[in-house]
Amino acid sequence: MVSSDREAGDVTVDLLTETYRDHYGSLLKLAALLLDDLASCEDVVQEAFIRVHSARSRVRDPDKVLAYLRQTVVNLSRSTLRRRLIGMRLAPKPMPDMASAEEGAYELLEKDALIHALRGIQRRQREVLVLRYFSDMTEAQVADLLGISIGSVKAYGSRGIEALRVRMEAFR
Amino acid sequence: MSAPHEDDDGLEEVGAALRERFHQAVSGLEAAPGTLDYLRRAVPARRRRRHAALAATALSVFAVSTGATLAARGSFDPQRSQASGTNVGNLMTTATNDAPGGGSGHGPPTPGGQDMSDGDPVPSQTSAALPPTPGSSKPPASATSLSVTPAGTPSAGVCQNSSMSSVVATQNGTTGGVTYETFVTTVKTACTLAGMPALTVLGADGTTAKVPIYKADPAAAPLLPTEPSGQTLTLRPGDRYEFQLAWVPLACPTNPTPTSPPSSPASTSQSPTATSTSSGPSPSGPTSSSSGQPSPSGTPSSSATAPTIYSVGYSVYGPQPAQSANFMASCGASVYVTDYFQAPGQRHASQPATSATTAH
Repeated sequence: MVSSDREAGDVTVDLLTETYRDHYGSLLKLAALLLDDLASCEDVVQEAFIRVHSARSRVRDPDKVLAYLRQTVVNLSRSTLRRRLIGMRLAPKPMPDMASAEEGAYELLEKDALIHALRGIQRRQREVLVLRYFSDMTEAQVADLLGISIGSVKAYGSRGIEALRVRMEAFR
Repeated sequence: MSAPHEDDDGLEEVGAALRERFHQAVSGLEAAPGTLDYLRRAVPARRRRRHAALAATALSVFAVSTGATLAARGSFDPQRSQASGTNVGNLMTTATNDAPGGGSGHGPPTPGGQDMSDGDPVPSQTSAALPPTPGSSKPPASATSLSVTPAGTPSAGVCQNSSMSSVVATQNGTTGGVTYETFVTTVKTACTLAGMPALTVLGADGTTAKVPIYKADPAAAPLLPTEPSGQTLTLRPGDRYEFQLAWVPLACPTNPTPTSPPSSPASTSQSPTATSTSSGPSPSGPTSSSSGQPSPSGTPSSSATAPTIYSVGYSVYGPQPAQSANFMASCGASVYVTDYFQAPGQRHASQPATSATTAH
């Protein structure tokens, strides 16, 4: 019994490592584009990893782990934006008195005009644009992930681009 | 027609530009060092916490369900309640439980509707607290052996037919056409009793007769001697309790001179203690119109209707009567019954002299 648990744990760890190496970076970038609180990006992605891998037994199709992870990241980002979930800071922070490797990148991100404009449009429009053009998902995939129709995806996409354009011109 | 293509081309161009800008904006983001180690620790820990939470929930549900089952089983077991000497309240309200306030429990009713499921002994009302009844020949209630001391006579469940060793019905005589009967019951096992006895009236053919049974309210129907009512009797083996009933035959209608409808005995001022020479109607005399009082024994026309034998049965608990008494009436009757009360050691009721014990 103990050995079987250990074997299951090893398998989980192997799958976790593999998934981490393949998708963690892209999911972190996805969260960075969806959230306006960059400090929560790591937390959201790590929580998504923990949730999905803790419930690996309920994942019917192993090939859809990335889809589950992406869905979880979107949901958690939405929740963070809506309620400012502070309690999700599960990851140990880097040394407080030492600049992390990402701080410079976050600063650059904060200065990006596109990111500022992206944070000013509607949440649903932002989600559609990020999933459609950053994650390279089709309209059907975006509709499935967000639980809306393809027509709504098209509408949110076109209106989001227009709103983004207006905000970018205003930023200049 | 080329507009859509232009729009599509424009959208694709914008899309390509967006794609490039998005990737460019987040290109510098990388995972923090140590994230993988943290995830390797956090995932099994989260799984353990989830399993522990599930196990705790299942354990709580099992404990609650088991406790509820045991509690329900204990409260529904009257023998266990008696054996333990406590009144573990039954969740069911029995017919004898007419406590004011809606008390629940199989035990005797408690004033204010206490829930006796907590197993506390029920302090039944002591007879010493009852004021002496004016005109009653009963000895002071404190002299009886039925009061419960604060120390607690072992309280018991509700009396059953099996709790009785004997039930004797004694006819106290007839006054003004009203027949009085006293039921004296001797207790075999400890039990409690309260309220009004359950009576059934059967006709000559053995079917239930339409004879109303009223409670003998001293204010409304002073047919019987005033007896303390509403008390809970805690009986020990050998104790006796009793109740009285009055059989009031209704007057038959007469054709030549319509008599007043049989009024309720509540309007009758006649007391069972009254003598036969009182101003009440005479059983054999004509209808008294001057006093306006009812004629319980009927009018001369009643001779035209053959009297019927009725049987009034008494059951301590349950449908089977433990004792019964027979009465006669030609045109129906009413029954007035007192609550249970303690039987004194030597009882000399203010009823007409005890005549005979009903043969059963």
